[in-house]
Amino acid sequence: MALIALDDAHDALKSGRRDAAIQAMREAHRTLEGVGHAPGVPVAHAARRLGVSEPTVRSWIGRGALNTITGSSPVQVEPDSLRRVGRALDELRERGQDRDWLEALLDYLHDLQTRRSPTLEEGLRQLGRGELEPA
Amino acid sequence: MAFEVLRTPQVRRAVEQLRRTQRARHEAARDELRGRGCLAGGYRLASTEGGDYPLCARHLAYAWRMITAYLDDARIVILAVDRHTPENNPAAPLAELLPGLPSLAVDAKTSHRVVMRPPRRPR
Repeated sequence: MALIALDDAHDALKSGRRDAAIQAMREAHRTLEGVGHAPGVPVAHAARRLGVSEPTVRSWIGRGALNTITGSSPVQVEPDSLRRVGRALDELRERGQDRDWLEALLDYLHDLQTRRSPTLEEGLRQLGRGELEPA
Repeated sequence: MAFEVLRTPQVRRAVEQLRRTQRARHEAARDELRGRGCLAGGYRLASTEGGDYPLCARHLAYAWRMITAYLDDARIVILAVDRHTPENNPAAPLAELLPGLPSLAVDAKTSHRVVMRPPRRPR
């Protein structure tokens, strides 16, 4: 049933019937919800969906950017977080076409690294303590 | 207008360790700060994290750099003089997502691109 509904949606989109397409997709969604399946998405599938490697997906899980289904083993990615990250990546990739934007991003990353250098941090601490002398 | 240029104790210690060329570059930069203020500070750090004052970085000799803070319109503090030797490329995690980034990152390893960045504007 879900496949039929998706085909209907496809045909409706091709013929410019947007409302019919949305209705058919909702029907497919309802059908798929009723089918017993895993609540999450395997890491390999998530990686394919996001267009990144599996280690990257695992890294993002570790950093909290992607949520997982509690207790899942092997680990499964929670679908809502996968969609959220997917949208963010789409936006990032779109902006990434702009060389000026990429350069500004690179400057920001390098400066962030500078800001976090131990020497600068110590300098800021000494400034905070008022430990200053004529240069 | 002459600017008052101060430094942190760690800068004094770092300068004592510099070789002749590096120290000469540092002294030239310091003297320029006295005369031209923030215009001699190099480029303003783009990141807004981690400080109450505007920060600038200026490259000295080789990998050495000088980082300054601007307390007000008349006082400048040299916070750090150190070697810019990043342990990792901060752009690396994004290279997988943004195909154009690696070529820019390679360019950034030279000092040319950094030097081309505009200096901090006077307040």
